[in-house]
Amino acid sequence: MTPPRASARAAPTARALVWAGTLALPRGAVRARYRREHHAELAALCAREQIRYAAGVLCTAPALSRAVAPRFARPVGGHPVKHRLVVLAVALAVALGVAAVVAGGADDSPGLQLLGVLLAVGALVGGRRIVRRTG
Amino acid sequence: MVAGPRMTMPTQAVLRALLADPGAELYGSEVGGAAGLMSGTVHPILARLEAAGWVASRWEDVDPTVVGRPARRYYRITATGAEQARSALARVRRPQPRRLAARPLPGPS
Repeated sequence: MTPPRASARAAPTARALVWAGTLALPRGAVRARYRREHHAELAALCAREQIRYAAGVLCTAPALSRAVAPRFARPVGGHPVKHRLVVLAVALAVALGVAAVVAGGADDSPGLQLLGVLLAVGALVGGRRIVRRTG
Repeated sequence: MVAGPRMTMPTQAVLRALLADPGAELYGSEVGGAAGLMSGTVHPILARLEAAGWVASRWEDVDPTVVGRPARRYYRITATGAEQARSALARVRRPQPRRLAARPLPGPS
């Protein structure tokens, strides 16, 4: 069996996940560096591995953010940038949930609709808890 | 004195991968593969090691149109980093003294 070929270009889904995963980094050179670095590494992977890689980037986004900018990570009295990021992440998750509900309705897939509802509600509840706890 | 990075298990794995050939330059996925870590998860560790001065990085000097892919970011362990990493790994590898006195002695059967 031949191994899957690298695509030499990142798939849109993987690029979107990397984009979201680097949102927590300080704007400017640092964020641009890591996006460029991740895109270069995605290009060496096949499509399935790209998704795994990008999911890993998304999961470790808070750790990378703390590593590159520790002075921004735990400010005294909360941080408005963190709150904006939480709101952005919640908005993205809700949009994804709504899209899943719509797609599930069109495709006659109640499971997908249920997942969409759970994602949207979970994001709203989780986001509210994070903002209240750190605010 | 600046404290070194936290020696978590993934950090130890990354350091061992970089120390396997201290002169070699590896990009993130290669480091992850050599360390046995999940793809895309080594960058926070590399960033901490870079901030501590144990690792240096640079952009690959290639023309993307010629090689047909974007330039990668390569990492290598510094001389100071290699020395400190070895001693840090030796410290975490050292076995803890066993508390024999705390263990109850077996009674007569």
